[in-house]
Amino acid sequence: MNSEGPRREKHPPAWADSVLRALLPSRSQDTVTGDLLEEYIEVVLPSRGVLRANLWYLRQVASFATARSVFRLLTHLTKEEVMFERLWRVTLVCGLLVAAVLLTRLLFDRFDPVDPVERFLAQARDDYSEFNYPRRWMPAVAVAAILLGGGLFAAWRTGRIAMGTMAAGIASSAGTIVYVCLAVLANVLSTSSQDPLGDPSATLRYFGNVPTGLVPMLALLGLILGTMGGVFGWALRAAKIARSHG
Amino acid sequence: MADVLGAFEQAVLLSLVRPVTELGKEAYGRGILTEVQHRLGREVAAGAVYATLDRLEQKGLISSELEAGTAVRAGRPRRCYAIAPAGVRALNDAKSAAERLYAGMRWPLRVPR
Repeated sequence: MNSEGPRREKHPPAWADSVLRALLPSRSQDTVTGDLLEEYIEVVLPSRGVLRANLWYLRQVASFATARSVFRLLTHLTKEEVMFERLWRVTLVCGLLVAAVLLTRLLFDRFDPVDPVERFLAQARDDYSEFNYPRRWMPAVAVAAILLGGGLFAAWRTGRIAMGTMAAGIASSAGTIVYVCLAVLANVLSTSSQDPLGDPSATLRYFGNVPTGLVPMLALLGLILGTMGGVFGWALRAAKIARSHG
Repeated sequence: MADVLGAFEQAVLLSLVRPVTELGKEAYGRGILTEVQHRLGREVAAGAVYATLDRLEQKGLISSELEAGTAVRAGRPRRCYAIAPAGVRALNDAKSAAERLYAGMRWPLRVPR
């Protein structure tokens, strides 16, 4: 090695290095990136060449992308340290609950489908009420309760309404994306024997009965309900503090 | 007995007890990664090793200290690890648990008919 130290072109991509740093806790940022840089320069780059060495580095970065570290990356981007420190668990739990509710509804629809003619006739009757059909309103109520509760808890813990908005917004978006991915995967698995992948129009069919529009819709709903829950959480916390001081 | 160590945790701890590779003897993250890969005979993701090291340190089974960095790593410090007495005890417990589990078996095991 020359005495001037490693040159920049011998380094992995700077953006990948930045992503890795953002995924790591501050305690490990220098040590881990240093270890990987050393391996990259001394072993991987000489044996594999620049392109494959960079791919190796990206694979290593990806291996640090756990749920917790992704939240750390989000806080890095939003400059909201408090979000990661105190809210990543509640956001993760709310996201998983939203996905679970949506998937439960999907499973009901798959294994016990509603006859559209029957539904039409039922709606035409005078005594029709949505409340007689819990499958239609229960998931919406459950998702709303989860997002309100998540927003309330986040604001109560941090004393900031915006944290409720952020936690519920991220939870609803992530939960719905997980749901959409699993619904598409279920379509692929259930039809792959007759309809092999490769034909673009056939691939698009896998999205046919998946409500992809739910993602932006629920993201918006998450922001609104998270803010409402956040107001309650903030008020509860303020009341508790006032009581303890008075 | 505390919770028994997983196979990967055992591999990481064993790499600190008796490393066989030159790099492994230096007991910092990169060396441990090399050592674990050598022991398991397969490529291992760096993230898995560092996450395990963090977990073991939180459990008090290993300790670490920072050492100065070298030029090749752009001056970034190295974190060197050492196994703690609790780590040695945990390895002994894991070995005993495995031996109890397999006690009385005749080797090699055969598929029952």
